[in-house]
Amino acid sequence: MTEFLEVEGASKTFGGVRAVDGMDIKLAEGQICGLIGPNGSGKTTLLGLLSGTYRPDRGTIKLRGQRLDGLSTHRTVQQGVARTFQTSRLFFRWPLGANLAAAAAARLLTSTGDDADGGQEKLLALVGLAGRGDVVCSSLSNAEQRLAMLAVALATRPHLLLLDEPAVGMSPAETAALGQVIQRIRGELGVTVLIVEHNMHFMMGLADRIVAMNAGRKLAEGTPAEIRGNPDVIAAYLGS
Amino acid sequence: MLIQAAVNGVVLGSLFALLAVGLTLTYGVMEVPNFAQAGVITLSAYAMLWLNQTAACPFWIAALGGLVVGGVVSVLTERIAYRFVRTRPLAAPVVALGLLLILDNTALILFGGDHVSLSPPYAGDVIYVGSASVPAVGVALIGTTAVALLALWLFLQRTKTGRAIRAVSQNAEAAAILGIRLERQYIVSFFISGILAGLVAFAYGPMYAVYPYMADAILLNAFVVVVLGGLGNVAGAAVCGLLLGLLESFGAIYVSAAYQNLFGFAVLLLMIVLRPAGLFTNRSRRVA
Amino acid sequence: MTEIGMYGQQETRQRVRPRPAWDYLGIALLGFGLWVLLVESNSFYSSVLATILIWTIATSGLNIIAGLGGYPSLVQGAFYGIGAYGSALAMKWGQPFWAACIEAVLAAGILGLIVGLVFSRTRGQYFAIGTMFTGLVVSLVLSNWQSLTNGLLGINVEFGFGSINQLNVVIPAAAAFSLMLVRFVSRRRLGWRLLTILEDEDLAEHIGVPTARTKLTGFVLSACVGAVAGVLIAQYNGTISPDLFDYYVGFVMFVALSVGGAGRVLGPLLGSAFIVGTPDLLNLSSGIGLLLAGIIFVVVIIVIPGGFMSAIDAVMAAASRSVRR
Repeated sequence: MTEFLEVEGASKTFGGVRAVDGMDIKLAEGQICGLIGPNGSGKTTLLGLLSGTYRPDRGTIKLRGQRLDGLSTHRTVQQGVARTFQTSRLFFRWPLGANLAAAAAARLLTSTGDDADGGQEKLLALVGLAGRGDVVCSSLSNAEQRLAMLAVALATRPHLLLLDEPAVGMSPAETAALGQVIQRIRGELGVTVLIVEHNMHFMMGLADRIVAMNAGRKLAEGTPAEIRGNPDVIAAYLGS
Repeated sequence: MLIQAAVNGVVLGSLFALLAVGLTLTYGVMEVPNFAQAGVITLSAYAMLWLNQTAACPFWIAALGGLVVGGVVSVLTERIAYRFVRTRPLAAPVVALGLLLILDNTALILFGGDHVSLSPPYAGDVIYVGSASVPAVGVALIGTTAVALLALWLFLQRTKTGRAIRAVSQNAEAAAILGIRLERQYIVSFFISGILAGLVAFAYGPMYAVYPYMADAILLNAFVVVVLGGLGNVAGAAVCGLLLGLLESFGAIYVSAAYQNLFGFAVLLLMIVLRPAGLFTNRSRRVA
Repeated sequence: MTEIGMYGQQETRQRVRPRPAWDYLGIALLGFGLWVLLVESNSFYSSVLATILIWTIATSGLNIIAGLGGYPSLVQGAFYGIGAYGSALAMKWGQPFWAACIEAVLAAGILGLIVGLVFSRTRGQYFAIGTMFTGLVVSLVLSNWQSLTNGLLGINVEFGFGSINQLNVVIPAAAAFSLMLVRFVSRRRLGWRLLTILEDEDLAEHIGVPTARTKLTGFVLSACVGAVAGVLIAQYNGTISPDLFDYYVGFVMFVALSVGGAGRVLGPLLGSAFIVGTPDLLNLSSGIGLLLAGIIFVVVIIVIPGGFMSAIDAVMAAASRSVRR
């Protein structure tokens, strides 16, 4: 049976440093998977490999049986991969609605992203930004911008969503709301989610499975409870 | 032949180095290419000319006066124009062109468009190196460049202000956090850049002629050097200036005089595509 | 789709989409008016206007990659030159005029493709520097390839139109079409993709925009339109020489676009009118005219960084606010 996402032996070296070293990951469709590890363990590089920013030196990446490794970023988007970033990235001078239209158009090949079916409003409601479509993105608050970035990624209708530290800079209340949004994304849109995050509490309550990384390699894998009690994981965090 | 080419190359290279260092200093500090430098050179040269001939000052006093004029004019360009476009790099070409027009045409209006010669006391002398000859003004150019680069190096390495400028050039944000007052560094950088422009006028003016557009053509070559050496990298500019001078000189003699400039440009194009940060920079600047 | 100036207004104006037909009609009327001006003025003003209109074509082409896409191309002068020399030489070698035009535009397009590919990973100021030196290389070749181009002496251009009247119609018509082209492109997929690249190229890539291909298409299109302008200047002047296409022409075209309003449909027209008109019309004595021009450039770009079009926007916004009160 083909897994939804299959990463086999993926490696990436930058100038002598092995950022990712033989990673294997398998995700089933509809899972929420957490990726944890100390700073410099290769988490963001792995996201880069999945999103086409980097080409793996070795190994393969397959989404629904299709090879992703070696594709340029815009092609991975067309294969159904979307990602968000550690810092808010949006077309800040544009209204939120225009951002969503651009993202939808790029994937669906419509000419200007007409919002004929009201999809934009549904998306905004899903992430908790209902009615904010006309606001220029630079005027949104920090937490709103992160949600907006999420909405833009979703507007490309991805199968796999990569989130890079989505909760950074959020208050506990905002973080809890974000957790609910991610649940809805999986539940209502059927999107598989891979989250890189440092906030353990957030991850424990949200993820089905967790993969722990250290120095570019997989350290451990399992349910949140298993990972929490894993001595190697604890040592890696305390030792780093 | 070989020696002559080498000698010519050193002379040309010294000119490029002197020009490029002046350009790269302000480039490092504010990421804006200062094409108006050509105009500063022009006005500086005319100031020297006026002091020497109309005001009958001795040549060396006139030269000093020209340097000061260069420094002051350069600071003025920063204060009244470049200061406002630091955050808008795409506006810089417009400002640079505007300033160049202002400076060149001020010279044209005040002094007329004729080619005038600036004659230091040693003009006309020729020095022989083996089978090659070099005019005394060429030697003066080499000497000026050497002294200027040494002085600049000492300044940047040993003085507080100089180190501050290097810090701003590397990372303006961090420098500001450390308490370095950015405005002051910009002004000082432009002043030094203006002095360097004055030195170019002093060394280059006697070699060719003084007229309102005297520096426009060589500025382009200097620009090649600035990019090759790495934007903001003073040592890189100096070394690449010399190399480019030698490259063009040999190219002109052994390959084709008409396409002399082409060699430098070809190298530049290659550089921009392959290593936009320059030959000597090891810090990674955001390219966009 | 919203129109966005190159230097970033704080707010974008989200207009209710005007029916596009009105835009084109307006530009067509403008073109007609310009034709009337062209044929009715005395020969001095007429030739200044003709140059302005031809520059409008070239800078409108530039508007695609530089205005919409945000890539500061300083090489438009070279494509302008290739259009002129290409068509002139093709006719010299026996081609009929219409074929010569196509060949010149094709040549420019091919060069645009090569240059675009060479600089496909270069951005910002490095792109500016690289393209400027490319322009320099092209003008060096034009000046020095004596056997092909007669070097600095230039060549005569065979007149390809039926009559001067025809030329006088084509020039404003082509200018109007070039403005319409930018309007058209900005509303289509190529246009908004370029706009996303202007805003944030990496983000654009991450929402699925094929940035490399888009930039290349924009660049080649810009080159071809620039070549059309070159064909017309060759026809209008009757003779061409390399100094008409020196590297700084590309630089000045970029300045013209910036001053008029990059990314705006009418920006090229206003900018060209200003850049070409000011020195010619302020003909006090050449020094003072250019000095004033320099001062105006600096003042304009500092005070209204979005160019003349953004100043017009501001005036119109203020006017409509006071009308509503």
